[in-house]
Amino acid sequence: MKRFKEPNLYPLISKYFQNKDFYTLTNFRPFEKSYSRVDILAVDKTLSKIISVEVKLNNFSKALKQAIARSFFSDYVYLAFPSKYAKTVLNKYSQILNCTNIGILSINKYVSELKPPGPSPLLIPDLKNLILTTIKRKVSITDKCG
Amino acid sequence: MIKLYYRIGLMRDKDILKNNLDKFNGIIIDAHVFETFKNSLSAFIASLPPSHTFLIDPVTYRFSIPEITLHYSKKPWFAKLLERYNLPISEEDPYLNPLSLSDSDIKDITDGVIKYQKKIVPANIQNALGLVAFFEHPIGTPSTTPEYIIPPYLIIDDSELAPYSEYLKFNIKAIKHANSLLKNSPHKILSIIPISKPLLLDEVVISKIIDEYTKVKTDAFGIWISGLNEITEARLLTILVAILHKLKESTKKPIINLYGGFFSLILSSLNLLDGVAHGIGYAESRNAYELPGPLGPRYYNPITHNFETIEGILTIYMNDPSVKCKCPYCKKYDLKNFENIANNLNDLLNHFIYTRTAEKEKLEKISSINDIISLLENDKNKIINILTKRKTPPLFTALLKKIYEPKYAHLESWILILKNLPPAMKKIIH
Repeated sequence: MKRFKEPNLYPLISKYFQNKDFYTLTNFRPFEKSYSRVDILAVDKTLSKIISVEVKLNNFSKALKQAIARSFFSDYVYLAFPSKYAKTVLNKYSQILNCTNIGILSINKYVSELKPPGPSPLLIPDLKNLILTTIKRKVSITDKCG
Repeated sequence: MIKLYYRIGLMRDKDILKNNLDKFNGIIIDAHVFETFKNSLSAFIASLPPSHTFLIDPVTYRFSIPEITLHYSKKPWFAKLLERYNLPISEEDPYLNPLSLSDSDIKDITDGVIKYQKKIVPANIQNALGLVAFFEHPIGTPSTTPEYIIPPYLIIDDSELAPYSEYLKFNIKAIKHANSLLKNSPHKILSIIPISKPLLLDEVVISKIIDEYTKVKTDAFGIWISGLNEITEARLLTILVAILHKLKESTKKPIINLYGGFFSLILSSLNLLDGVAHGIGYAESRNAYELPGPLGPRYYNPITHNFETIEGILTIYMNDPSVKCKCPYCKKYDLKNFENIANNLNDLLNHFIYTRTAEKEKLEKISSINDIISLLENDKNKIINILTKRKTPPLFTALLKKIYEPKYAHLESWILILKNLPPAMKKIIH
């Protein structure tokens, strides 16, 4: 496998969600003037369910901080790590993952779900709807461009 | 009364300020900005009512930090100020080094810097005044001379070039020479005390620096702790408070914080400061060793007295719509289109000015330090409650508090500093 770099992992994760019939957007800015970007955003074909994925090679606490920020507008949030570190996170931080409902994806040659996420306890429906309008615009452009 | 000065670093600032004349007392313009936009800024100063003052910051420190000097050396203003300030800078000596400056060099530099503020700038404003009178109805007779004349100054630091004492000597000699130059004139002197943040941790050095400044003849002081940010380095504010107290006690002169924010407004209400300066939505702190970078849209959060990203403020307002700012500029946007405020810089900046004025007016009405502490405690609890509003397990709530600590940690530090002030400093004088 190629040396890991965060963006190198994006296509694998996008493919994982596309196979589950989701649209995916990488480096997604929630707002036009946002500083932060969601690594991968997956949205179902009815454009009603948002899944945010934050990809990190390590550094769980930084990843957790970003995942929590995404929880305010996402129905579900995953953290994705290379498989070895993903297993470490699952063992070491299970209590935090359980109370925050954050799921874990493990990346090797393929992506597997180590822990399914629960519904985001922080979701603000109005904020999600606002971001859905940006998503709809982007998805329609992506569709048109093939 | 707390005097509020706005720094003008960008040309858009003057247009915003023109529409908010009742919300500030004066402006500060860096000499290199004035040199670059001389006509436009002279016209702006000429259009100010007589109640408003202005200051020209000579920014001489920019010629003494090798990387900064090198960076700016190709700018058109650089050569102009070099000439006007009589700076002994050449290809062989590309920046000012206090160790190699003779007394005569310091006198020459001071002559140039004083002449610039006393004669050159006023002459430009005088010219503009004729034009303003022709095109607009003047509100009164605006002042063509700065409120204070600022002698040249260098950042006091233990640098690779020289020890702190050499920079201090330069500054003190410059102030003394400025005094002799302005002896029989009505001009007042504002002496800048520019200290590099790392020196704050050396109590003996700080004491020596302040002792030197208390001995000089000056009408006012401008304090600048280069690199000190009221939000991110609140623990160092205790030292700033001690410096201000010592300076105030020994000199009784007005002190302006040249780069301050809400905490400086609080210090003004405690009579430790007499004025606070900052830009419109920027320059609440400045590091002399860093080049100012481009600024993205930032929203001033009235609850935390700090800036937020647009998604940060939306998360807060959508979590609790009752706390949404009620200023006329925010009112234009309901929550569903609030993100658009980031596309309207005028509204974003006007919101800042409106909120800063409201903060200042609120502090001016407060008569006890306990009320300031309560205000900060309320703000801290408010932001914690908003961010932990959703029902989550206790561990998650604790995690949220920890993750969002940077949003309110400065409020906790400010409260602690105010609670620990000696009784003599807890007096509020309006």
